[in-house]
Amino acid sequence: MTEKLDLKQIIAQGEELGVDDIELFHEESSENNIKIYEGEVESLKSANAKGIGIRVFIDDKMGFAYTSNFEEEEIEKTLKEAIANAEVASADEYRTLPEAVAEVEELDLYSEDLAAVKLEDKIQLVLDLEKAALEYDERIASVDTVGYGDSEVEIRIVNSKGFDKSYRKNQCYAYSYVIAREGEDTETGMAITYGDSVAELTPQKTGEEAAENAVNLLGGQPVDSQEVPVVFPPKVGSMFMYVLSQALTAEAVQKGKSVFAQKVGERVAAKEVNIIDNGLLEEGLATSPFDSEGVPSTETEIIKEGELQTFLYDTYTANKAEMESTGNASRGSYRGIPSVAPSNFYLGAGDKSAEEVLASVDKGFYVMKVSGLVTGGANPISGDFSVGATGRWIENGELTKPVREITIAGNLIDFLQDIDLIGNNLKFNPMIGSYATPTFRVKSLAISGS
Amino acid sequence: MLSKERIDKVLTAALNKGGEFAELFFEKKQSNQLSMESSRLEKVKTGYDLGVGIRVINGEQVSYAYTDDITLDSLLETAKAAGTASKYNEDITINNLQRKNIDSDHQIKIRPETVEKIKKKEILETANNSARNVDQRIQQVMVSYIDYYQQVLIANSTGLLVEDERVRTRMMVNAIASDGEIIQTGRETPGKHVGFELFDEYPPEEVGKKAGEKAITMLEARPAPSRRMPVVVNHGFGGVLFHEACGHGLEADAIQKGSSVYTDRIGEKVANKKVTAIDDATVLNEWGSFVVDDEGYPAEETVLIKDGELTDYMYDYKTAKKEDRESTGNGRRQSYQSQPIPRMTNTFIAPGESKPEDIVSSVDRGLYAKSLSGGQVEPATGDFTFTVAEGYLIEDGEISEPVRNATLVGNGPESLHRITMVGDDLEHAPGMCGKEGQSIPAAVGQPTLLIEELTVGGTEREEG
Repeated sequence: MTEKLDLKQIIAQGEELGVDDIELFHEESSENNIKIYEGEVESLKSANAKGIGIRVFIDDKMGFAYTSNFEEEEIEKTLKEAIANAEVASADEYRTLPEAVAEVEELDLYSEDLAAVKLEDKIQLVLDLEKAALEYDERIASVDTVGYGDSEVEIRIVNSKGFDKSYRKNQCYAYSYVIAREGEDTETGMAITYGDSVAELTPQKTGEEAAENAVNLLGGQPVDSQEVPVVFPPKVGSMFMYVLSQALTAEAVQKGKSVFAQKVGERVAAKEVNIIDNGLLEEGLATSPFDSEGVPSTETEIIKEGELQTFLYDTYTANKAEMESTGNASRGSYRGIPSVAPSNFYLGAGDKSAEEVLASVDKGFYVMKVSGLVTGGANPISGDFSVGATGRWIENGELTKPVREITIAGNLIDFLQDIDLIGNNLKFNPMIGSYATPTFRVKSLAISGS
Repeated sequence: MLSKERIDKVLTAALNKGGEFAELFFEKKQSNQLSMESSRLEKVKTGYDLGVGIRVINGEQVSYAYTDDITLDSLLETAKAAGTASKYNEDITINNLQRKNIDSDHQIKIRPETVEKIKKKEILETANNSARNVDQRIQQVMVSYIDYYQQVLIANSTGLLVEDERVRTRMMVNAIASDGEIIQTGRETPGKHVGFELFDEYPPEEVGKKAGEKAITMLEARPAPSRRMPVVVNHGFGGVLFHEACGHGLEADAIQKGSSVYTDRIGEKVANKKVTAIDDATVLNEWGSFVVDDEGYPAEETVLIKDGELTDYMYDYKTAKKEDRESTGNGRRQSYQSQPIPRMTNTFIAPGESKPEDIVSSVDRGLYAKSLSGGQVEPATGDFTFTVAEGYLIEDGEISEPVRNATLVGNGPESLHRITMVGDDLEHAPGMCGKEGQSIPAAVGQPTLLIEELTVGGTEREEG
């Protein structure tokens, strides 16, 4: 429907109204979701949406407005509102649009196969997933939620600096959330599979994995408070990457909200640790040729061999620090103003297998779930974290009894310094964005239990 | 908005393939957001949302489609998409649409869309300055302001046609204090179903000051100890504990799926007899209030737990129909892009008889959780972890020194039995509640109360 809306015309209209610069973020998207309950389709959802976000710059002041209504008078109202918003904003010489680039990377982000999959085939996939979970073990009491989703989005950015590019991508995923019961005891488990096409999804394996996660935790008890080595599989490790990434953006640093401020060039982690953000990574979930303000995506080594190299920048924070943008401007949708955020953010793989990492621990804790971490249990400013945890006890390199109702606490910097063994099984966790780690070991963490 | 004729056509098209029930949800919303950081008004934003969601229900199956193009052609196409999944049924007709006008008790004194942007900016500046003036160690202050005006129209094939307007205004202040070593934050976030008069009740200078003071107190705090102990939870946002650890388990979708510990337990004793818990969307101008819910059902008061006994759950249309009863007016959705599901509105523990100071003085050694921040709960078990934003030790019945980095770890249903004292000082507090990817305004609330034993996880290192 882009042809209905003449974006260049809106740019001209803005310039006539006296803006110094103007940017249009145009988005069209569609999505499909299926949920199954007890072998029947419980809900189907299909949607088409479009919208435009208008950002204007006047005398170093920025204003923003968006609308999903493309009628001419509505667009004009939105443009004028963006201008009125700029008028009350504080002047800030670093608020600029990036200089336009001529070329961006050609990425293959769109699968015709996925776009062509029939509804019945998607439904069958979810039915298979539900069945796999239920049949795994008789203690699986129910599959609480099992579903499939796919989405397609086309983004076009046009600005008064001459940038005018677009890309299209689609993705799909399926997940299940199961409940296991034994006597009075209840536990939950979840697993997710994702890919560029339905063929890449693994309903059987994912169903079994969700069930296994729940069953293995039945009968968990707290352990005594102590300090022990802790092993993090990708699912939980990636959640720590999320917290870490919040403290590694230039915005957090410039606003005094990062435990890493003033530490560039210092050893902030063990020598084995490499933390990377790569917006071009093929297997990532947040891959795109350019970021949300039209800067080409790049690979950024943030921590290299334990040493802090740089932070993540968008145009604004880069201007302020006299650096180059790392292509990390992000907005959730056309409704948002861009700000710095990670793209595909991960702990680089090591050379041990996940089994070797586990086998290395005589007595320790294998974390399978944490609670409270991404909802305030970790403080990116101080680096302190304290989270609820569930998992299994490790003895002589093997998983033994389930453990629950304990907390693990520490500081992010100590955590990074104490990572002493890293696996080679890098895996993304799509539940919280695009974050990944392999299985890794932290030498010592404080556990408080009974 | 949409004409009766147009709605009729769309509902008819939605049932063309034979669904049992069709519903149209129209939404028009204007929102404003201003955020200040480093004493600069950095982000000023306006949003215009307009769209229609169409739902068709057939037995247990729901299909949903939405569009932001409200031309008749597009609406008919969306209706068709929503109707596709239905199996063929006998002829279902649309009852005559009967427009219901319901007067709102929630008076809005100063509509935020009539307030000049510069006035909103002044509110932010005042709160910012006031937080910074608390102490030199306040390093950073973030203040944001949000208001919105949402108009909804809901019509369905039973003949319902109703409209509602919701106006909400909220301010958030986050103050960060540092002494060079430690960094701590203080947060205040007043918000209600009101307009700009919010600031008569919550003057921005006081809100800013409170946030600043909280950050400084926590800066001076020592690490919290780790052990089981009695915990006194302050009134207001402390209610988030009940909301997360028990409230979600009382929503009828969780009940019917058997994924809640409260399934099949109506009439049983699920809490200490001092505990009465209520969901009430009619509380005057409260953050989670409305006139009709997002399925067109009138707001109502639902007593969930009465004197410790489980009395009712929260229902939307679909879950109510399954049990052949009426909805409790808890069908809510984030926007036209989402299906309604059973959600809390203003959910709270009702006031008891104890004086807050008597509750504190009953504790020899324990924790006073003056304010909580976020938390997380395992819905099937009610196991929870909450972070204490502002905590103090209680020693010999008196609030003593502040402690930081305390988390509360426990189980919701178990904790309800351990609430042994309930204060008379009920207060509500606003929050955004997330479920199935939908975020909606919901208020939590409680009086000051005592949980006689709970695990406190702190970062204090054991001696030796």
